[in-house]
Amino acid sequence: MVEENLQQIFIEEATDLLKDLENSLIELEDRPTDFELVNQIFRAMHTIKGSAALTGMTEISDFVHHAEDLLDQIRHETIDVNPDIIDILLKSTDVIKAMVNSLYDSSIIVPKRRKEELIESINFFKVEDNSKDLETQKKEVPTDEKEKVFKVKLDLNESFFSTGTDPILLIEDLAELGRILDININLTRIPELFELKAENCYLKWQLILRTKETEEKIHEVFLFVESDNHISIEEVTEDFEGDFDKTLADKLTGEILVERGILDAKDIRESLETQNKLGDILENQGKVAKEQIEKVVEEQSQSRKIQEKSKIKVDADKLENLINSMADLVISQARLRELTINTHEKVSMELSNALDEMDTKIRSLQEDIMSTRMIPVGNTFIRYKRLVRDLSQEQNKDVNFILKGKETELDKTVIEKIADPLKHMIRNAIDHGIETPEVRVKAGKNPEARLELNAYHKEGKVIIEVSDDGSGLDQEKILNKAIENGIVQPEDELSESAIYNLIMAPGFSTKEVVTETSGRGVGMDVVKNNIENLRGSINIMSKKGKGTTFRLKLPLTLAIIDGMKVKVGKEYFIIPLNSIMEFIRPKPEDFKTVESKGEVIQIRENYLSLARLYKILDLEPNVIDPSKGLVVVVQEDNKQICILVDEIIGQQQAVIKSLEDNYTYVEGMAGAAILGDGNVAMILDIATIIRMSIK
Amino acid sequence: MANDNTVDILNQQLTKISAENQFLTFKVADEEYGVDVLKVQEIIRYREPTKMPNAPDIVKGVINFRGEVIPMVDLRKKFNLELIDYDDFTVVIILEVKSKIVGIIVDMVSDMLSFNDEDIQTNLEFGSHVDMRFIKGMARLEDRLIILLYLDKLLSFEEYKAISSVNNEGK
Repeated sequence: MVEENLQQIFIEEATDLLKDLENSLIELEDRPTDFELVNQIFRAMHTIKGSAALTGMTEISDFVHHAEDLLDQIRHETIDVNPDIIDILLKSTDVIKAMVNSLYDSSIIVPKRRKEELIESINFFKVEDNSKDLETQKKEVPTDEKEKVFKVKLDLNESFFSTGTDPILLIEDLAELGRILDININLTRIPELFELKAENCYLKWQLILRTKETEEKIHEVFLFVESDNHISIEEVTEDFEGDFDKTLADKLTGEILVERGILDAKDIRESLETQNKLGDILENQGKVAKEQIEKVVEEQSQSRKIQEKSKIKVDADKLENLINSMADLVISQARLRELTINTHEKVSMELSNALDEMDTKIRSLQEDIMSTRMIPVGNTFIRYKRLVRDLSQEQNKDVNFILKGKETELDKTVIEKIADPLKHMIRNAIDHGIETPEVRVKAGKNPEARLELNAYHKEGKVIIEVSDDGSGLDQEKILNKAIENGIVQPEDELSESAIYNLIMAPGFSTKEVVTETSGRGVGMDVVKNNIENLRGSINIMSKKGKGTTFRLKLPLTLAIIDGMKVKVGKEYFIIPLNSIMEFIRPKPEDFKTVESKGEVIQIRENYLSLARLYKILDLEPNVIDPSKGLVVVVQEDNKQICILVDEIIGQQQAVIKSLEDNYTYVEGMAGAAILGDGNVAMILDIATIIRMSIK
Repeated sequence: MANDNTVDILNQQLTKISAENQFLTFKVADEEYGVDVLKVQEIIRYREPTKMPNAPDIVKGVINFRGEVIPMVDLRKKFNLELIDYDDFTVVIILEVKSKIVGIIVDMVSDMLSFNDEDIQTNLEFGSHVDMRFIKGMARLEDRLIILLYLDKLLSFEEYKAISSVNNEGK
């Protein structure tokens, strides 16, 4: 049992690390000399090896050991990073990943030969540099000890200069012992100009030194001055993470200034007596330079960022349960509200006040719960770097992959469900959109193609765009193919966007263009389906020769929406609030027909086409005359129409239930909602309704 | 109401089911049908469902069943039989078919029966006018003939999806 647990922890940890590892390796390809990055990769590899050994997965730890060896050589600059090495390391990561996955999925088998081949190629690089190897080993012996961080305070006597020593020399000596991470000067002792004595030393220093040397060695630097001056050396290794003081996060600016030796505690007290922002006061009083304050504040905020990262892992099921309970609560709340409408007026007033209060609380609870599921899209985006790299290498294309809006947050389930569609679109862009460098040069374009993945919020939705500057879609070719496959008739007249949409029609994807990666039977129709299941939509924009953009529009969350309940005949419908522009009861003279077929309603200066919901959805209405019913002006994708309904019931939060779970996709419906009385109402998908009304 | 009692008793029996080859039987237009009891979730009284826009005829609408929105299929419609008004005997059998939950509207429920394999006749031959795709076999019990339904085929919505998406595209 315990072992199983350990293994579970190992799998989780290793999976995370491997993901980071892969990303770092791809970054390394762009910045092969980034020493910190190499170290980061090495550490990740090392951790995997360690935990694998700890959990008894010797097979994994043995293999990782080889990869780690190679990294160690990069770290010691005995070999340079080149694409071949990155390739080997990426492949090794794949093998490790497969080995880790095989721990819980017995269907995954890692062929022994694949491992051996990799180990061989790793050894090839190592053997090649054998001579250098020895050199580094020698160099390494004395420095094998762990680096420590020391805080060195130099509180020098005013008469310091009379001894003939220069503080600069001391600091230079210190720097030779290791690396000075930080140096701060205390200026508070400097008197007014007319009192200043040129031969006096008014400065105090505080340094942070990272070194492999011992404390005694540092003391040796101050051998001749230590007796007359206050020199203190303190080991602070534990407070540092990398080159960063992680204790800063919890400290006040003043404390940091004191600690850094920039100020004395007494200066702070004096300054605090005047109630102003401490940093400004200190600066005004000339005790510190503005830059000094800005620097510590900046460092503090960075340190806070490091601390903020502390997270707890929660079982996704628990979050799911939380959301479900939340949804039930929203339904109960709606029921309660419906009941109050029927009670006595006085009671109802008080009740409805109490309910309003509850509403606000439920809403904030709901937001909090929802936010636990919101994660930035960045992690998913970064995963595609590898894909782009491999594909462009395979097809000899030169692609500059740009990620934007990585911090945009989206519901975890949505992210999971768009991962594959996005992958598919990226593949498509590289396979079909982006040309080879030669072709691009001939077309007068930059040989390096641009592939951009961008995410941002707009109108309460999340937009994700995949755009390339490739050859663009060929309308004629698409149309011909669609006619060939019987999707459209030759006599059909289609708009530009309708033609582009054809590539997402089932049965469009032809086998003619099969490559190793795309054309595996899943076409854009599957992508479109996946997106629509999420209540999202896809738009395609393209210009021949200039490129193509796929724009996905997705709801922020899948669970609950704000909607307006409307009634048509006996049925209730929910219209999502963020699609609604306004409600009107048109005057009879505002209602006009065009060619006695199309109906429009005049709203101020504009005419908007009228869609009768009962006609679109085939229902028995109570109201046929638009001036007797109500018209909801809705907007989606910059298109506005009027929707005629019998009456409006009121605003309501609706818990969205998928129709697809137990039934199938229903055109025009975003899903179903369970109302307060336990009945079901359909939630309208306005984008589709607009499309249906235009047909 | 007598019917309420039957439903309660049957529901109680449902929870105790373990053996295979047990069937819940019900009547549609004087014919007796049976469904595999392991697929039955619950039997509920008929309640007016929410109409589903542009849905095929056999789908009467959707209801809220324990927080899930599930479709209800009218078996009379499915079998192309004459429609009758729903009455106190009308019940909805909630079934789980291919991990989807569906309700079927039937005239009345009758029994919980088990059959031996040899009582079930599977090699059936009818004329082309009988749709055999939904029928698993026939069981005989004294003078009763019970038609055992093959639910996976009977309640598959795949075909509707295919139809609706074909209609969506191309236009």
